[in-house]
Amino acid sequence: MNQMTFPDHRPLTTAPQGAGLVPDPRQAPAAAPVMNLTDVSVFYGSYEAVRNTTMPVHTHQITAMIGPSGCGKSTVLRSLNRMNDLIPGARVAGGVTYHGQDIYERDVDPIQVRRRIGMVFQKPNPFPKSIFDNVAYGLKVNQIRDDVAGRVEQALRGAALWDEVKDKLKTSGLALSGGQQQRLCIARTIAVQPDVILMDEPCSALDPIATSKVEDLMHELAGQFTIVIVTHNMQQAARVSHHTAFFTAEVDANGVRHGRLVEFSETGRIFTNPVDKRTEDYITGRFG
Amino acid sequence: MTSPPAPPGPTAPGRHQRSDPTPRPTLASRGRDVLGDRLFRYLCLAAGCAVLATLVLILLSTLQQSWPALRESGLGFLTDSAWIPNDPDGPGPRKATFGALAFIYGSLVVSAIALVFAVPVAVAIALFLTQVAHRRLRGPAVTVIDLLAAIPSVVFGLWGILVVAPALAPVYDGIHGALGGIPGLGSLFGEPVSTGRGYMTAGLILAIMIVPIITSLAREVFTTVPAADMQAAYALGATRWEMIKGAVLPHSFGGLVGAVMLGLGRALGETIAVALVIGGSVQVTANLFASGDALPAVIVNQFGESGPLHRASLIGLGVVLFVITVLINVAARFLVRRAEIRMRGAAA
Ligand SMILES: Nc1ncnc2c1ncn2[C@@H]1O[C@H](COP(=O)(O)OP(=O)(O)OP(=O)(O)O)[C@@H](O)[C@H]1O
Ligand SMILES: [Mg+2]
Repeated sequence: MNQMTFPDHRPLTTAPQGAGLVPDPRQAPAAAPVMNLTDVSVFYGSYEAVRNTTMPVHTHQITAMIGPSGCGKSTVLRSLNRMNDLIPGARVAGGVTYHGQDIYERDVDPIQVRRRIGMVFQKPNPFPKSIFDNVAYGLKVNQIRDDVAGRVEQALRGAALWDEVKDKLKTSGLALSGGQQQRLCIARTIAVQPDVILMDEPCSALDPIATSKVEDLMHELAGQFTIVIVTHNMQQAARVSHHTAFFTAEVDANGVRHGRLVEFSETGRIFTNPVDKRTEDYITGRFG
Repeated sequence: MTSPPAPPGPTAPGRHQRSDPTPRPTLASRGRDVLGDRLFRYLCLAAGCAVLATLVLILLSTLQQSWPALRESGLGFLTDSAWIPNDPDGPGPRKATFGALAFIYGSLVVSAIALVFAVPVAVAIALFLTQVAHRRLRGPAVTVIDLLAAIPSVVFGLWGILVVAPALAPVYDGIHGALGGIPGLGSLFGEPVSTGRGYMTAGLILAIMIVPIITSLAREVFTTVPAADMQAAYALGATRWEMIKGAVLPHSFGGLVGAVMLGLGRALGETIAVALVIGGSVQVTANLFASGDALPAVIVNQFGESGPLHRASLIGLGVVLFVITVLINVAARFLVRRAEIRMRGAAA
């Protein structure tokens, strides 16, 4: 049935536990990177939005992507689970591997890719269904039929939402507050037990309290999942991530802007001792 | 709080007082804005009232015209299935009878058949056009479907009487032969009329006639589904069909019911095509292959040669049709409202 079967690497026992605010730079990555980008360029039609990105996504760690608006963070993120396929004219060149397998290979089914590499969006987007059905939908889609109620509860607990909604599972997911909706979306994503979770500015629509809840949540989830997060909030990147990728937009000889990965390193290094001048300017607020 | 505050007024010394005080912002309403706003509101109100008034006037005038018949027949007008405008034995002692039940039944059955066939097809076409078809295919496909809506209904009726009914008669025979013996189900597929003109043929013709309107409205509804919802479904590993079930259809429920209601309205009111293919007999039977009659078809067939009471009765049929349509629409609104609250919360 599946055109492609991935080796199941879960659960990994070597996950870093209780990650601190700034991860120890000497701490080696727990295992081989779960994903690798090699010379990835993304095109929208003939426009090359992002050029030659090479970076790893380390297993059971949080990788943050930061950079000015329009530099291609979302574009790169979407290329990690083939969400770009849904945009007419979008094309990815270069190699994106997941456990060593190129996800853009011909016989790879994007649906199978997305079942392992889930995504949380900038704007909370629950379905117009009950809270329970929102979480159960992913299970249904992934043909998980046993103990649906138990799994829904577990996912809602995992997303730190259970106590707030346990008495109203039958009400609409859209009747929750924005922060609760976003945690519902996270619950929906973790319910299907993906390997990697991609988050595109998951807190940008949330207030500080809801944000800190989601950040705590990310720390907890990192023990179980690999997380890639796009954020405009540098404190957030510094607080939650183990590795940080800094992107910027460069203007080429023809005057066209392209997104570019400037620097990828442990978060501690990026924020205290960046190699590239542009990184330093950006994190110290001297950008543009 | 020991020292009393300085008295207000222009002379009061205050920290905020500057040498060139900024003019106080005028928060009072400006006349012109208010006028425009009011005008707009009255205009909208007038338009709304005009629609309502038209409806009420139509109802009142038809009710008044049909009053002699309704008074004469009483509740039997709704419950009696005998419609005998003229005494079959010639002018004699027997009274004419006007019972609309057979026509009410016929209208409902024919419309139900039409919906059963048209709704899945129309929704499927709309889904195909909005979710599956290549963009270059969409334009031509939409044009073809809209052309279907441009065909006059009398043409549909003639096509039904000349082509469809004769072609379907043997099919009905076959279905009757296969399923007629099953208890319960068999009564739906009883002995067909030899001409093929009956509920089923009328329903099928109607189905073809209402597919374009339902398709076109469903298409509009589907294009309003937020891309974010569709992406959320895909990001969970949904296939296209699973995405449609999880994101597109829940979002579209209310709009789809609206689309179906407009289709139903057209089916209930369709006159000439139904009049031509329904067969024209006064009976209430479960047999879908039997001939019958429908409210608008009876009106158009008999109106020309009717005496005063007969005429009033025919107008009464119109009132009944009107009331049925209103009731169904109110029920649909109620249904949608409840479903929307369940899906979106009370704020929806
Ligand atoms: N669907 C699309 N079609 C065409 N061009 C696009 C599309 N999406 C993004 N782009 C272009 O690709 C470039 C990178 O966009 P992207 O959304 O990845 O930036 P970003 O870093 O996520 O920005 P932000 O921080 O504002 O979200 C931009 O120049 C943008 O105009
Ligand atoms: Mg973005």
